[in-house]
Amino acid sequence: MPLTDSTLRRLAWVTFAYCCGCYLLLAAMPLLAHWLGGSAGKVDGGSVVLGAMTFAFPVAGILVARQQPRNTLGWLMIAVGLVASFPVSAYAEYGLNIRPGSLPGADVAAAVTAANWAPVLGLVGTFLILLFPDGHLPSPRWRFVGWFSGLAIAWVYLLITLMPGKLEAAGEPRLDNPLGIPALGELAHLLLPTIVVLPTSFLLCAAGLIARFRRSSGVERLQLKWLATAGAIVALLYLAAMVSSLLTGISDNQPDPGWLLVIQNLAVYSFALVPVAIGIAILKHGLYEIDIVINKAVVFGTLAVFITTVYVAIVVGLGALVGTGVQPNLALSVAATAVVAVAFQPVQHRAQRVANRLVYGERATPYEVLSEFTDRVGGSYDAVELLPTMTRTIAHGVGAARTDVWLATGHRLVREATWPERDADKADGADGRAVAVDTLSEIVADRVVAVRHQGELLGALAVTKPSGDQLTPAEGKLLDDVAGQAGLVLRNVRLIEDLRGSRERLVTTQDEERRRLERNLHDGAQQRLVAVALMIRTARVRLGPDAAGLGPALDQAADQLQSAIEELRELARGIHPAILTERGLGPAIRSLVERSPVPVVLGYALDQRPPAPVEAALYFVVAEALTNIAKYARATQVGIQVTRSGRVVTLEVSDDGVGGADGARGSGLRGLVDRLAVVDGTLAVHSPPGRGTRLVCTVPVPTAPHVPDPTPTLVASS
Amino acid sequence: MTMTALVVDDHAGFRTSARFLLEMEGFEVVGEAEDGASAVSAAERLEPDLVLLDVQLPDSRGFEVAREILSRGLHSRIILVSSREESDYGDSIRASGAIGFVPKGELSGDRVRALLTKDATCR
Repeated sequence: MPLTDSTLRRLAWVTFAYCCGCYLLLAAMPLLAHWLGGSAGKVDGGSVVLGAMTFAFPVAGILVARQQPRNTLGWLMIAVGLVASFPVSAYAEYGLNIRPGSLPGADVAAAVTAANWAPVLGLVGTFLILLFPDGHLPSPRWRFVGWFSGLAIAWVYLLITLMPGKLEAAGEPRLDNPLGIPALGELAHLLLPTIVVLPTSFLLCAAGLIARFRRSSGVERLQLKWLATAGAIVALLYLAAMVSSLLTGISDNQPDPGWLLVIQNLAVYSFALVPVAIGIAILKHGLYEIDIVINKAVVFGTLAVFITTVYVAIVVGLGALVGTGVQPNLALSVAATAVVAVAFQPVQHRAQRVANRLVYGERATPYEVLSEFTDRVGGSYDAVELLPTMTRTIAHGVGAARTDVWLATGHRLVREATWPERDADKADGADGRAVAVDTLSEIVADRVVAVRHQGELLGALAVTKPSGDQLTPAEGKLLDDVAGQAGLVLRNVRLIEDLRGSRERLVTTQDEERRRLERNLHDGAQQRLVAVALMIRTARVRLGPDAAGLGPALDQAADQLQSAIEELRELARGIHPAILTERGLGPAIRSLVERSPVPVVLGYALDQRPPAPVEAALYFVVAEALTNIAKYARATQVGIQVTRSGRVVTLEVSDDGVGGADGARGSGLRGLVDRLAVVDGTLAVHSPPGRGTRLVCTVPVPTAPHVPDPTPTLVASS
Repeated sequence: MTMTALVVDDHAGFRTSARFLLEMEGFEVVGEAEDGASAVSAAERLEPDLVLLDVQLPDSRGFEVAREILSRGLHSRIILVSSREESDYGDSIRASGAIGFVPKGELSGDRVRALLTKDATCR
């Protein structure tokens, strides 16, 4: 029958309660000894420290098992507690020291628990490391490491338990090991070195942790960093304790000084950091970013080592060479200080870079992201250009697979920029228009952060991590910080968009107005004049050849009327040429060319009609240019080229006239720059005196073929 | 034999003048219409030899009306008229199936007759 979670949880609690009982029993032993007045004056403080330290494991274990009863790590940590508090050692203590001879087999009990440290240390150093943080192997390939570690622990335990000799390890140096096998004693020199399998398994499991770290990301990486930090602190403290005890041990045989005891105890206690770190990492209770701690620790550690090395090398090393002996030499001290002072900055810089790479990998640090971002905001970057840069910066900063910037326009949110850019094309509608949503909650991403400025919603940053990855708290914080800075940028972008929009509306309205005016002239006034002209002709025909003497007058009226119609037609053409609406830019330019007093060579190479605003803008540029040439240029020849290259249409008008055209005189052209700007076009005038004038106009057009709007189709009522 | 004609224009004044000029030239104007839809139904009903068709109509454009009439298998010949110039429309005129275009200001029996003769020789 499979165990349910709640059964497992109950089992964990029962085991933990039993474990607590064992610890209480162990803790009570010294008191019991004192109370009963046995020979227990020698209860050593070290074992109490060790016992208290190991108690952290079952505590962390039950916390993990309570929340994740199926995570092996919780059970492993409880098991460490079970082994460490094995009550048989209390039995041995009582039977051997408190009431000697009162219990049978106390010596066997002592022998059984003598090698307890092997499974305790073994479990912590192998499986806890190998299975962290999810209770599974890094990959099935690591199964052999698991087997090797298990066998190594068993081997070491059995070897020490069965080795003949005094039970020194159990604190009973007078007692022979009752379990010892004499034959093993002869092989001791061969067998004891095999204990090395245990540290070997530690190293293998550490390799597993490193392998896991290298391919980890997001929360898992953070969990691993917690364990790594705890491990590093333990290792450093042990190193310090070992080195200092070696140094003081060499000097003389006096009892260890107090400070050394403190360091040693600290080192032992620090072991409790491992279960604490594991517990915190697994339970993710306030899994703070410890990157910054590691980062600073590496930098300051490196600096400390550097300064010490320089000092020792110069003051002691050089001092010995110069022969000042152990007395510090002031000059050398000054020299050392100078070297440190000069080299401090570059060393710190290097150390910082190493620390950054260690902590953040190839990614930019959050600080760099923010400062780069602020630089660009403050710099002369075009606000519209800024958005793609912004998406890229954010994506690099938080290791995103995709980043979008959304802009609030009106009551909707429109996607303005995407990183990587190829995703933007994919996600845009088939018509190439930007995607828009009504509310923030409709944006699909791992994390969407609203960008506000003075309480007003200006847009949003949306980040999607690679699949299976999550945003870490620090990355989330970075995103929030960038969003805080982005308010101003989005506001600027929106102002620019608004300006563009209003200019576009202005020109569009103007165009529509011109078209309407032209239609009214044609279909109103001109239509009527044409009808009148026709009537006069009708009257003329009806009255016959002599027309009762009115013939000349009627003919004159008809001629006058015809002139009026022609003038009206010219006027209408200037307002908005019908030919442009009807037949497009090519024929419209051709009609201008036909009326030009200066001969024109026209090259028109567009196979599709550009959008109406582009046609209008280019048409009026040609019209204005030809007018100016006729008025001022004294040219004999004009060339007009309309070409397209990719997404850009280029119009070039050149003449062989006097040149020297300036913007003020061609004020009509100035007005056209606005019109061109609406369609993102540019206008450049090259007019050196005496060398003609060249006018170049470029306008981007959509790649999709532009099909003119079809006129409404007829619905016959028959 | 007298040729029959249909005049299509939304201006009553133009229709009157056009009717007179065509009748002077010996056409029998059998009907008038003031928009595209009624033009198509009148053409189907009357089967005129000639349709004088304005380009700018309230409900559609002369080009579409011309195509619509010809698509119904009628043998009417269509001449488009407008207060605008021929160059404003370009290929649209030929594409509609009309045999020609006359600016309204220049409308006369002679111009119409000339286009019909030209069309007849081309066939």
